[in-house]
This record gives sequence, structure tokens and C-alpha cells, in this order.
Amino acid sequence: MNIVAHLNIHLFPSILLFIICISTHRERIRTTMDRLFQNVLWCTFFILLTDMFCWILDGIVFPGSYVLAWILNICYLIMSPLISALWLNYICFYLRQISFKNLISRKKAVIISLASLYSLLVLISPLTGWVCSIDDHNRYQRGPLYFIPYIVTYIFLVSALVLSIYHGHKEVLKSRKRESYTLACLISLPVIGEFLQLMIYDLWLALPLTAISALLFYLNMQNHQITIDSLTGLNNRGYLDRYLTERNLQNEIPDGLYLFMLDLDHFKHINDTYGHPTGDHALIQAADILKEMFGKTNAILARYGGDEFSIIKQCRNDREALHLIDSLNKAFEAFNQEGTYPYTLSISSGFSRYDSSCEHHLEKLIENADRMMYEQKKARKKS
Amino acid sequence: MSLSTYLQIDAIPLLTLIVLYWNLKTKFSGVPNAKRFQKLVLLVSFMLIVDGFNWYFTVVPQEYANQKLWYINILYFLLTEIISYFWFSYVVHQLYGENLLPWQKLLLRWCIVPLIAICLIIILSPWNRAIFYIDENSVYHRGSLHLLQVACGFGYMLTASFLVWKQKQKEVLPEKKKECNALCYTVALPFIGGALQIINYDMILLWPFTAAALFLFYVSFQRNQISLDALTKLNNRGKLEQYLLHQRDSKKDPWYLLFIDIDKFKRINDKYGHMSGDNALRIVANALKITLGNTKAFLSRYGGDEFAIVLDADTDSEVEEVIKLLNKKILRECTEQNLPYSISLSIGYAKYDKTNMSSLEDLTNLADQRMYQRKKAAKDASKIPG
Repeated sequence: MNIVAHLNIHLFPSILLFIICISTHRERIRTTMDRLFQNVLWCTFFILLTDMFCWILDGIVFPGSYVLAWILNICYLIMSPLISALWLNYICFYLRQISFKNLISRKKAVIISLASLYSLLVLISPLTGWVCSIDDHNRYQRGPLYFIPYIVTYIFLVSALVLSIYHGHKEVLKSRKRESYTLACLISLPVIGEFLQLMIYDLWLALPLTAISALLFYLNMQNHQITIDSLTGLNNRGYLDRYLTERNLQNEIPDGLYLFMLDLDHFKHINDTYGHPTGDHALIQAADILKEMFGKTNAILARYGGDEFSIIKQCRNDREALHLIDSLNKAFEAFNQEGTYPYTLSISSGFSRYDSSCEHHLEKLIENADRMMYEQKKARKKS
Repeated sequence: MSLSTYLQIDAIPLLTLIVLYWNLKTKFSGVPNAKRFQKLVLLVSFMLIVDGFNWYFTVVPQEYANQKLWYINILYFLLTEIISYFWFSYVVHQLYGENLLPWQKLLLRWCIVPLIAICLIIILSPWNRAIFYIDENSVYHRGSLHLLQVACGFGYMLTASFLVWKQKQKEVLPEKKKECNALCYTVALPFIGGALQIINYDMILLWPFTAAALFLFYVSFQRNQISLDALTKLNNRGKLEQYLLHQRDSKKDPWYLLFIDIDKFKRINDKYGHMSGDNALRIVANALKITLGNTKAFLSRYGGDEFAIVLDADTDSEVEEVIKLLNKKILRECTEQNLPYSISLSIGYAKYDKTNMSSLEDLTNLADQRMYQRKKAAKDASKIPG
């Protein structure tokens, strides 16, 4: 292997990661999770660079090359398990909101002492040659304990994988379940890469596949932003529109699909009397009621805009749809009876059934549901 | 370099592009021009495969090496030209959309002629040996007209960049300018990759760098989707919140936050339907863009029928001036479009200066309150007969 080959292999993943790092950096960081993700990204980027230079300098002799080679290799060996630990930390936080920072101090101490033990083992390698050594031609040679960095790295990655699969298995909410399994798929990429690299000496897949995995994480996060309404955490209107048009174009809408439109009553009043923050809070409460009712079903919940929500759900007939609205109203009444907040919530609702006759008139579908809703609203105002 | 190295060089960029393609297909299916972008990604993925085979056939001794090299090289050159043309076509559609005049459309259609000509020459390479040829020992040589193929590809790319540069001079909105920049930057990476590959023949960087460029472009494409409101193409609320924080931490002092609410919007919606409501929103958005586009104002849709503007101004009278202009513009638009309803705005504003204002929340609340006061005042005024 020569210099050019390593440039060829490592330049692309480096550029890829660099672009991801910069673009997440330009967005203002809001949550701990964003920060953790960014740390992982930058560390992965730097280890890619370190690795590239390790390989490029391998077997090249010039003044000071011996020291430089040791520095780079030690950096690489210490960073490699550190990065998989950071990935594990990120996954833990994603799934359970627990990170290294929240651990009790005794556990922290154990982890830190293990880490320093490992670092010491690597750091004394120039003297002992246990993990690796560098020969007279400035070439990297495996030592008798060369497998230890691999094993440590592997343990972290595999525990992240197991954790996400276990969580996906246990989770009841459908959307959360899917998220956990997605995580498991993403983390399995570096695991596979690491394994292949250990088995076949001239495949350098571990870091490039980690870069791909980072790319997938990044896209996953961005997609979340595109389809999710940031205030309520429900799907947004764009998602709803796309969902309906796509299914419609592919003739995939099953019979008995109902579109429900819900409108919060007197929302403007809440906004005007208590101010915008309270109004926002009311919307979040309403969304939570919907999530609680439909979270475990196949229904698609969306915020249609302002104080309007919509639900897409399969029902056998109109009676079932009416029944559904009944139970929704009851849920809102139950909320009001708790009386924790200064305002009360109620909804006006309408629905329309999708059937093959209105195939190309999605607008109609929304309009019909909308009209029914407004009639109900009017009727209520009169009474 | 060994075979596994060759496989890796093209495999990772290929994997990246497959991910992008799948993402574009599932998440951006309704977005204008996304289809063209998708095709571009697909073509470059295909190119990476061809590139990989090309190196493989060149380096590893083969049976029928001669034929294989002929085929793969023809494919390689064809794809190079087609990809350059597709980029050109993408850029043109991104810049001008559907706003082209008939003669411009015709001109655009003629732009495909060089592509067809060069493709014919490439396909006929075994007979004319103009662009390249493979000799009896299965060694690749450049033909006498090799530069023609380079010129054609470069021609499309450079023309595209020139058009972008020209358009950038005309654009007023900062978001649009950023988009133009992204279109320009994207071309740089393949040029760097290509240059490095020319310097050292063993650096297989041109197409991996092109893949990286597509990803870079994807990032800006996606950011537009995230931060812009789909209906009005103004910034959305999430972006406004980010911008306010940024503005607070910047040195600028003082500045204004304006809240705009369309009067009786609910009634327009209920009486004339959602379509009319959407149209009213678009009219207001356009008026905002025209009146404030070439200032540094930040325009956004706050949600529903509310808009928010961040304005660099020193005094209240400056803001009042802007409001006057805005109202005038909307009035003119309404009469021009012959609408059955009239659009009027209630606008409230608040000044942010570092010494007096404690938090962004206070600023938002104050602007909001003043907007409602104005709304109420307008309502009361209209109730008084005469």
C-alpha cells in the first residue's frame, strides 16, 4: 500500500465528515443531544485524519519521523475506543436521557480509572512494545497485545447496538420503537466495518463506514426537522400533504381511510387573554392528549397549522368515526376537570371518508372535513 | 494498489450517494426540481461504478481486455458529458424556474446539440479514434480531438456557473443569494478532484469529489426546505427564533421586531375557502419581499396569519415609514387582482436596545400586545357609524 492509496481511501470520508460537522455547527445548538452529537462528529473527523497520516508516514524515514509516528499512533490508539465510547454515550442519551455526566460519582470513578489504565498501557508501548512497536524502517508492527484496542472499541460499539435493540423491543409507542431500531441499524455499520478490518488486513472499512453511519445519523436528524412540527412534536402540514399525495398517486389509500380535522375552540381567546406563551402551552397540551389516545395505533397525527390538528385513521364506518370523536371529546373534558391550568380546552371536529370516487380530489377531502368542523363550531356558538 | 483498494475507493462514495438518493426520493418527492437532483445523483452513482470497473480493467490483467476497455471507456466518456449537461440543466431550472420566455425556452432546447454531437463522436470512437483509442496491447491513448470532449464538459459547467454569477447580481433576498453561492461552490470540488487526478494519475479523486460536491449541495438544498415556509417562501418560525438569538448576541443596536397580523383572516378563510386564504397570505408575503427585499430585514411567517420582521432601524419614525409603504403596496395589489375581499394589516412593533430590554420574550410579548391594541383600535373605529 502506498501513500496515494490511503489518500484515495481516506480523503472522501474526511470531506464527508467535515461537511457534516460544519453544517451542524452552523445551526445553533439547542439541546444537550445536539452537543453530544457534534462532539462525536468532530472526534470521528480527527481520528480519520490521524489514521490517514499514520498510514501515509508508515515506512517513510526522515528526521523526527520516528517520534512523529509514535505520537500519531498513540493518538489513534487512545482515540479509537474513546470515540466508540462517545457513540455509546450519545445512544444512551438518545434512548434514556442518561449520559456520562448524570452517572453517580462512584461509577464515574470506575470508568475513568479503567480508561486511564488503558491509556497507560498504550502510553508505555514505546518502552514495552506490548500493544505495538515501530521498527527501524519506521513501520508499524503489531505487539503481543495488539487486539486490546480492537476489543475495547468493539465492546463499546456492541453494547450500543444491544442497548438500542433491547430498547426497541421494550418500547410500546410505535414511533419510538421505530426510532430505536433505526439507531440499531445505524450503529451496526461501524460494527461490521471494524469486524471486516480485523479479518481482512487490507480493507480499511472501519472509519469510512463510521463516516457513512454519521451521515445517516445526520440525515435522520434533519428529516426529523422537516417532518415534525417543532412546537408540538406532531407531524407537520408538509408531511401530511406529502403523505396524502404520495399514497394517492400510488393508489395505495385503503378503503375506509378517514381524515379528521380538529380545531381548538376559543384558541384566539386564550392567546389574547393569557399571551402567546400560554397559547403555545395549550397547543402542546392538546397535542399530548392526541398522542396519548393514538400513540399506540396506526393513526397519523399532524398539526395542520395554527390551532388546527388532523388525524388520518382507518375506520370501518361513519359510526366508528363518530364514536372516535366522542371519546376524543371525553378526553378533553377529563383534561378540563383536572383544572391544573387557567384555561379549558375543547375541540370542534369534522371528518370525511376517502373513497375511490374522490380519487384525484384531495382538496375535497380536506374541504369536506373542514366544512363539517365549521358547522359544528357554528352550532356550538349558537347554543 | 490492490484490487480491494480499488473497490473501496469508489464503494464509499457510492454508498453515500445511494443514501442521498433514497432520502431525496422519500423525503423531498414533492419539492420542485428534486426530481432533477435525484437524476443527477443517480447518474454520478452509475459513474462511480463505471469508474471502478475502468480502473479494475486497466490494472488487473484480463481476458478480452481489449473489448472490455473499449466498452468501459465509451461509457465513461458518455457519462461525463451527460452529467455535465444535467448539471447545466439543473442550474437553469433552479435559477429561472418556469419564468422563461418562449424564445429562451427554445434556446435552452438547442443547448442539447453539443451534447448529442459529442456523444455521437464518442460512440463512434472505435472507428474514428478521435477522443481516445485502445491499441493492440490494450493500452489506452488519447486521440487527436481529446480536448473537444474536455471542452464540451467544461463548457456546460462554466456556462452554468456564469449564469449563476449573473443571477446573483440581480437577486435581492439574502436567502436567494446564499442559494446562488451554493450553486457556485458545488462546482469547485470536482474541479479540485480533477486537478489532483491530473497531477498524479493514481489519485482517483474526480468522481469521489463529485459525490462529495453533491452531498455539499444536498446540505444547502435541505436547509432551504427546513428553514423556509412552504407556502410563502419566507423564513419559518423556527428560523426566526434562531435569528432572534443571533441578533441579540450581535453588536447591532438598536433594532426592531414587527408583528403583522392579517385582519379578519379567519373570515376570508371561512367565507371564500382555504384557497383564498392561502392566496391572501401569498399577497402579503410578496408585498413584504418587494418592500423590504433589498434592505437587510429578516422576513418570516410566524404561523397562521401572522408574520414577523426583524428590522434594522434607529427610530420609530423609520419603522412607521416602512409600515406606510407596506400598506400602500398591499392596497395596490388588492385592487390589481380584483379581490372580493380586502386585506388590511395590524402591525405592532417593539424596539430592542441593549440597555433597556431584558429578554427576547419581553420583546416578543410587547410587539404582540401592541399589535393587538392596534387591531382593537381598528375594530372600534370601524364600529363607530359614519
